[in-house]
Amino acid sequence: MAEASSSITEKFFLTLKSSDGDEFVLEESIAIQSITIKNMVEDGCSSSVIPLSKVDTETLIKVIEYMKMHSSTSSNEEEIENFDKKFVSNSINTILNILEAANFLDINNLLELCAEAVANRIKNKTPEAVRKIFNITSDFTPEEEAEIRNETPWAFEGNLDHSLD
Amino acid sequence: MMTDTFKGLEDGRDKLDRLIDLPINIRHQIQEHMTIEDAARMSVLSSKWRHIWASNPKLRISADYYRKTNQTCTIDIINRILLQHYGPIKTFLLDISMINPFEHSVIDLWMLHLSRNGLVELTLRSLEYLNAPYKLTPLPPCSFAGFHKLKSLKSDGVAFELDVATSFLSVPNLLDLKFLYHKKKFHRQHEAMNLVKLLSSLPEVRGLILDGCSLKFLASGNVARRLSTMLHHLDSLKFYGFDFKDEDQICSLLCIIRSCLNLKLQLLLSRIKKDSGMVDLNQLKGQGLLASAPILEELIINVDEEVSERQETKKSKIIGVFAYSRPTLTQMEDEIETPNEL
Repeated sequence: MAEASSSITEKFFLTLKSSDGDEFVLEESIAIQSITIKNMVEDGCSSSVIPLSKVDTETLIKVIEYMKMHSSTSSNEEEIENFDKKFVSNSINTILNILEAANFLDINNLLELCAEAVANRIKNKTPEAVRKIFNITSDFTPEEEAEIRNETPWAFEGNLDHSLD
Repeated sequence: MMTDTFKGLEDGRDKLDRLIDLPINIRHQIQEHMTIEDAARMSVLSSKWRHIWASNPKLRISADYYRKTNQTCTIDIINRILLQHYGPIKTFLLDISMINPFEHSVIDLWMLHLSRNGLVELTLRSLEYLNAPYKLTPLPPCSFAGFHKLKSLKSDGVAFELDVATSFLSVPNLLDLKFLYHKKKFHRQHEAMNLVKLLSSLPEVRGLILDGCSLKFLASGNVARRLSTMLHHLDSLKFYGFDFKDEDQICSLLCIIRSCLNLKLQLLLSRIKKDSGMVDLNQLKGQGLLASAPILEELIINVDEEVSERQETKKSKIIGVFAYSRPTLTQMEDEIETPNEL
């Protein structure tokens, strides 16, 4: 009995606050997958609310979902794999938001997952398609661009994908 | 209300170009998930992406890329990639399958170049078996001082043929060594000597991955009871395609275990094919596995059904885990269980 009650009291909870002002209560053992949060806990900053000024509510919800799935001992490898697959099918804008949050929060696995998802949207695509997908404006003149292409002509060979998927 | 307006503005930003605010290592991290051509093509996106690919400290030139390229200019392209690169190259992966064996000397020049630029991790592989083994020999000994920072050396289907007299592969700080041969056709006496000599020169090595064929090389060099140098730090030994019936392989395995001074050793034995017969740990026992390791306190043997050497990460079914602690090691002579279902 005594053991059971002590195992309950050993669960610590943290409150994370998004840039939109929403608060989320999360088990400490889950939250410390973020090295940034872990360092704050170790420095004794965890008793109050932890403000995450760079992460909005929508993104924080996704990040917490990810951390819960990846910390849970009950989820098996297959579940995690399926979760990750679904996770990266979020819109590219959401992925980029999560990537920035993962960098800020220092969650290495999540960062890696998002970096791969971004890379997959670039692979085999023509530069024109990549510019459209990511809304990039080129600041090169046509002459400059031709010159750059000429530096690595091997990178522009073969059948490149024009689609915007 | 304010928040909504703000979000609207955010969505209008250049989506990828906001990544420019992230540390450069993250932009590099994105490019590590694509081929070098994909990464190079990003240089025309905008001036902010212009030189990112050329400063990535991890350089991987894999076979995917050759398939699309005219083979005759492969060497020229790799030369250009190395010349265009700036900053250190810490990780280098090269698939040498498509480089004509007559032109292998150019690889030596690349190795020389990389050895002078703080290379930490080197992977050479030849997955297509079209090639004669690459021989890292003709490096001018006066100019090649060795890979002083190299911590990881992986060779997959590539035989290093070291000329012991002139240029010994100097890797004093190597921690992880992986040598996979796959095929027995390269099997030659002096290669075995090289591998024995290489292992003996690596007292710091922590992790060792070999396959059945490289083990045979060791054996053909007329294995001594142990290597001339004891491996003080070795804590992980993996053998792919281990043949439990091959005495040469067992002898070589025992030679390495005898040379191991670490008290806890993780050993993974994986069979390459299902037809390689019963997993017979009694065979190992009969050859004196336990007696060979008098100071081992714990020996964990994982016997793996089928592991792809290409993808170490590939999930493999472990069919037997045997953990030997010292007390059980001494009295278990007749108690080792062999998995019956095999």
